[in-house]
Amino acid sequence: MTPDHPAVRRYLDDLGRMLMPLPAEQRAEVLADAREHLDLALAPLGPDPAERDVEIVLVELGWPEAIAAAAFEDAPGSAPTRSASPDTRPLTGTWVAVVVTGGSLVLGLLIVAGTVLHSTLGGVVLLAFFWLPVALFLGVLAAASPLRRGREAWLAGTMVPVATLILSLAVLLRMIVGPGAVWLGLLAAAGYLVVVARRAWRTAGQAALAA
Amino acid sequence: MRSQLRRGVLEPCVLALLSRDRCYGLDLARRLTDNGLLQGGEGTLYPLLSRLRKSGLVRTDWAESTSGPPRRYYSLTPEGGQALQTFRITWATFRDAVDHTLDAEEAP
Repeated sequence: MTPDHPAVRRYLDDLGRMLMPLPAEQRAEVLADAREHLDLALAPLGPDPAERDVEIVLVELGWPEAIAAAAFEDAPGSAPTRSASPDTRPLTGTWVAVVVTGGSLVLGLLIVAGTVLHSTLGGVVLLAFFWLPVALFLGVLAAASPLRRGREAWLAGTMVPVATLILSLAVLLRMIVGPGAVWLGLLAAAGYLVVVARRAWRTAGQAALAA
Repeated sequence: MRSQLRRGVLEPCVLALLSRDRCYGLDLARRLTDNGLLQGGEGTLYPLLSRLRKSGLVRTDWAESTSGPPRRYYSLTPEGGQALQTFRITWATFRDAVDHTLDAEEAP
């Protein structure tokens, strides 16, 4: 049994605290090794060792910091063994970015052209029944891809559909209040996209800084 | 740099000591400290011993002692002996390469 010496207890307490980041099992193992070492090293000193002799044994055992550092170094799994493997999750290929970006651009051009050219109910039907589903698909694709997370995924997913929706409303308004509404709608959609893009840019910047 | 070098060769040195005779932890730590291979405290050896045990290169057996508490003896397994043999070959080539490079540097 480890002699219940205050210096020994303090030492083991310190070591235990410094090993906190290790898994419980490993931590217990290092502590047991230290205890075993102290048992053996203190045994020849008798049941009531002198303060100075205990200190020498502790100094020889080493700083708790040094033992903890060695334990972290030798801990299986804590070493950086994780190599950079290609991302095998679904929807992470380059094609996701190409489809979302390319699709959004083409869709945007088609919608703008359609909005300016068609002032009839046909334009609205086209927007609502054709472009909007396409926009929703692009949005879902962008949001579902694990390449983006949280707020960013939410922004990416809603960007194209919301812009399309704004333009649809603009075409609808054009029929009611006149051609000016289309330009207002284009302006609103463009404004929305600028705001969202700036926000996404900032998020990406923060992510890059944090990485 | 020096401590990294030492840390790198500590493992085969432990295996080499154990290839001659089984040792208990304290004894092993003191021997390595005496010959200058282990610095920073005897306790820094235990995580290494624990890793060697988990990877099957050494095994431990408890043995009663006539003086004092029971001791946990470390001894080399056949796999440990093989690892030591591999290191001996690697080390000979490595040492020659380093010596050769150092000597070439010193030459005018």
